[in-house]
Amino acid sequence: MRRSVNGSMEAMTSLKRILEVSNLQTHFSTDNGVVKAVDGVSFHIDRGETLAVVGESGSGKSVTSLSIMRLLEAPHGRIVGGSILLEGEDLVRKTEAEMRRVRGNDISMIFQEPMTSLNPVYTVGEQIAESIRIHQGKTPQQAMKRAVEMLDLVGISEPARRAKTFPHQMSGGMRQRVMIAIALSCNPKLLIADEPTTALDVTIQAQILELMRDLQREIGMSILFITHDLGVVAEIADRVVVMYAGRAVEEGSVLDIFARPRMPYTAGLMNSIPRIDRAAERQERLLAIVGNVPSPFSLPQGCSFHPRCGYVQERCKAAVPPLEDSGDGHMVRCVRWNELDLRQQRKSA
Amino acid sequence: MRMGTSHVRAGHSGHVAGRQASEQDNVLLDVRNLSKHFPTNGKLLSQSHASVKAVQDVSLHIKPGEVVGLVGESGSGKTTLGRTILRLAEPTAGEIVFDGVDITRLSNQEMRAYRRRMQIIFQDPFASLNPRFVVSDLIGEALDLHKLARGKARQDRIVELLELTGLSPDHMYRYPHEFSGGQRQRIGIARALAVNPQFIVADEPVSALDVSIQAQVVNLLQDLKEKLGLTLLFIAHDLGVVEYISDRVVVMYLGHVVEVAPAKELYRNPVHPYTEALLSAVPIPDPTVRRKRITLRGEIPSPINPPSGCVFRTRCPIATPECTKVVPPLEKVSPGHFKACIRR
Repeated sequence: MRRSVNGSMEAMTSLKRILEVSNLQTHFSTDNGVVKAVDGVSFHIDRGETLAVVGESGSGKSVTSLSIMRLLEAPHGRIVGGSILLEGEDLVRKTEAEMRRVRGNDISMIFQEPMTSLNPVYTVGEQIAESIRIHQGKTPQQAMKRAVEMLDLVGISEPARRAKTFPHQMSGGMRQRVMIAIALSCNPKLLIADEPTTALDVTIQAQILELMRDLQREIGMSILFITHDLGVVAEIADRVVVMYAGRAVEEGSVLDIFARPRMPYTAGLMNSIPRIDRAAERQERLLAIVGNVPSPFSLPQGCSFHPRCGYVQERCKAAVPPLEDSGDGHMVRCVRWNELDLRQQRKSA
Repeated sequence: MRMGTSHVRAGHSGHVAGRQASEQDNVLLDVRNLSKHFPTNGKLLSQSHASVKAVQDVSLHIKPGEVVGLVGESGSGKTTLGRTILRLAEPTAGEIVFDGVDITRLSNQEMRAYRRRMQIIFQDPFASLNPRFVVSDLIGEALDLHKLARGKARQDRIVELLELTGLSPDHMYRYPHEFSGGQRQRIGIARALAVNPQFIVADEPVSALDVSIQAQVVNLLQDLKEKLGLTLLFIAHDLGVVEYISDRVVVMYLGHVVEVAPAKELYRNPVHPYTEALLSAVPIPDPTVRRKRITLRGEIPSPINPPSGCVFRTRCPIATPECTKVVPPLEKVSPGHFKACIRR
């Protein structure tokens, strides 16, 4: 919890703060036991800001976004603790009917695979118009007119004709534009984008990222961008939360995290990517992180990353390290952050 | 293992493949003017002969011990090219000369010996391993099919392969679902290596893996290449990984090779406007790096009706009316560097 206790300060922060997630815990009950998919995650997003949540499979990044949308499949997935404040209102306590008004109106979401998110038997125009009708109470004619405007906004040429086509008649990049049109059709305050460009080619990814940046400038919504790709993070985010095995392990401004990673996992990820802009100084071998992403059923004791960490000490195995502020709001979950110079390792590596 | 003089390569010299290959006489794989078209399901009784031109007149060669990267967007034909080279898909036209023999003319029986020498590693280690087989069967199957080892020798060979790929002999009797993605890909690699191949097509071998695991598998492939003297065709859409592992890189667009060059040369000095745009679209994991981005308009056209002339011209920032008329030939830029563009 990083909220100010000072009353007037709090009022000021809450004005610019769209989302405040505090100590979120989301568990899944399975035949093999309880999985703590999200285990005490806290972060915030300000107005007009883009926060990237980066992590590998099993890190809990997608479950975090589904928790915010309250889209977890009952009874298996449950939010068991923490709060999700959207402009001060706790989404965790809302009824299903109240949540339905939040989704689409206040928060909307786009996913990795646009084909599975679109209905194959309706035209894309009808699908955009549907959300406008439901959330804004427009007539079918008004809604369709707005749908065509939205297609134009997301850069689809001949929008009136395109509105009458079906999802299968479009390419992957075009479908993702339609998803963005649906998501933005009701002017949400927050857009959650869960790996929106992962299924796309790099040239199309570049188009979609550019579109998202342009739209954010125009509309001013905040973006929660979930990805595994540090290149995409560097390109789109203002701030970053790095997740590993259900916990946030590092958080900070994008410039700070890339220049001074303080958690060995973050530094390891950065080192393991072959970079086309550094081809000249390339190594004989890539600096891989050893071992595997841990199974959620048998998480290591203490720091979850310790079995793969090159800087591990006995104390790392004893207890889960706290998330500490290393200065300027750069948070890090590592008992050794003060003694390690991971930047040095990057250079000599 | 020559299959008779009739298959031995004839002295081509006129076309591009000949020119490219003639710069180096020592070639393991020489693909010449290869095309692969898939017929589409035309309407009943229609006279249309529409086909998907997945690979169109592609020529490339690979030297022994070389790693050639193959890049391009989805729909560029890179996977089809890889599969056609192994004759997992029958070519429509062209020659595939492997170790001096045109394998397109071999019967299935004759092809068997070559299948042992040419293997493939697939993208998805979840889909390519039979979930009902334990590891020793998955790897041993290849040994059985080619009658390479039995009994104790078979067992020893499986242990050797597991150790070679960074797995443990304890893993022998486990099922695929008991492994992580990275370990499964190691099993896939062990299986490909079981028959002692000379040449391996690695089709997106790391793109389904977590970022922290990708580097492990890339390092493994590189070690194995050194240790076993493998020759690799490395297909991937991740340009960083391709640059890292490849000696030379081939860039494909809509079934055509548009540029070929030594890896460093290609990344430092791309000549074809498509290569340039592709490289500029790769996000760099450094927020302080600001590059000039060439954003391509639109998307890759349908390979059923590819554009006339240069297939890239509909998205090309420097296309002229001339580009609609001429199919640009692969021309030499510098030694080993070829491009198919009349504007550069």
